[in-house]
Amino acid sequence: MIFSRKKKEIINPYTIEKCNSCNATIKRKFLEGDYVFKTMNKCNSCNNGQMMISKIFGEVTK
Amino acid sequence: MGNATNWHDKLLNFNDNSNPLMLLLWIVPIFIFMLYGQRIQLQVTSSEINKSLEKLKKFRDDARIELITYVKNTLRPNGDPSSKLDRYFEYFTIMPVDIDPSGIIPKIRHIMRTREDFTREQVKTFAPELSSYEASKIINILEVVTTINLLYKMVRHLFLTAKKQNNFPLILPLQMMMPFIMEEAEALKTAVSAFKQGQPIGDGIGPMIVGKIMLDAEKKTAAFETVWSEKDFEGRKLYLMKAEGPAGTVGRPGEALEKILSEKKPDMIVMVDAALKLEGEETGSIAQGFGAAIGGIGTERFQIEEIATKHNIPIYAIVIKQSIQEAITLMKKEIAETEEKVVPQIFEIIKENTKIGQSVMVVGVGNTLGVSQ
Repeated sequence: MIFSRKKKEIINPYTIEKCNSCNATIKRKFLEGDYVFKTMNKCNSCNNGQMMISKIFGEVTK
Repeated sequence: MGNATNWHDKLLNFNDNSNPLMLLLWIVPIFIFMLYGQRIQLQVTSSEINKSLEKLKKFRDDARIELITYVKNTLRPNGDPSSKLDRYFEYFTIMPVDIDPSGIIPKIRHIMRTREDFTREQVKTFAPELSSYEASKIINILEVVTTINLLYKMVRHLFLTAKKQNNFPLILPLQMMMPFIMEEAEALKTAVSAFKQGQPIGDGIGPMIVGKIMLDAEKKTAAFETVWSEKDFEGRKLYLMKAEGPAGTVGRPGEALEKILSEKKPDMIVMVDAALKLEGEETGSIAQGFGAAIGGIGTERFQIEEIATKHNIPIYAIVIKQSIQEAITLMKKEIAETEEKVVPQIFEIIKENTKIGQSVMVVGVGNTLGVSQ
């Protein structure tokens, strides 16, 4: 079955937030209104830095 | 009685080559295939294409309904936008005469700009206070529906012409092209969801990489929907340019480059873009080369090449490989992660090919939907 059809992939969108001070990252589900390099809340890990969306991507669900 | 049995035995004896029934069983199909073979093949091929055509029609109708619902829910226009949107789906663009190709690029650019400006203005009539971000999302979806509609109409035309004229050779190229057409149509249909939610698409990797480098620098307008920044890097001056995000636009890199070059004189141009991968190549693989890495109809590339040649500026390119589907749908993890490798690669090219005190123009090419700077 060389030419067998590929199974349809389900891709879920995720958002990665990264702190500009301690580099802590949070991975969460994408929410409408998110965009890359959007400034978010203060970092909960170091209470010093600012969280920013560093990536938005789709990941294949297994 | 004995004679009858002999005749019966002879007729049903399948091992005998002189058997008249067996002879017919061989000869009749040969004649049928000789005379009607092409028609049978036409029927089989037709039914396959017809199935794909039905699928194309469904894609077009689904995308159309998705757009109309999105416009109704997001913009809440006064009347029903369906008839107005339906009119847009049928808009066409007549390319300039190319018998004498000299000077054709400005003509193509003029026609394409007219179309873009008109669409933008028309979309804004749904809601006058519409932000450019929302407008760009609708324009992108409108473009998707128009393209699927065009694909559907072209396939239907070729299919019906071949059937009407019983013209088998005419249906063959269509049969060969159908998998590619369906792949593109499926990619376009999937793209609607990303455009609606303002998610970054695979094509946005170039603007994302350059956007990251220009994050803490002051942004200035270089051309319509295009921004640029200045930054210092190891004794070199960097001029960073990308389309203005997070709206779904590619900006006007050609015009922007021309404007920046009238003020600054970079010693090198580095372009970062998404590129279509060849079958077998991995998604997110990075390749480096020379020349203007920019797609589209060709007007922007022409402009960039012209300026670079005029000022004798070398152009380096870095491309991130992906399929057509990956380029216009939600950015895959493999593509997003290339950012960590491409940024050092850009700096390496700059260090290797320029001296301290020189300047470099870095351009992030692509649709910057969902990617700010």
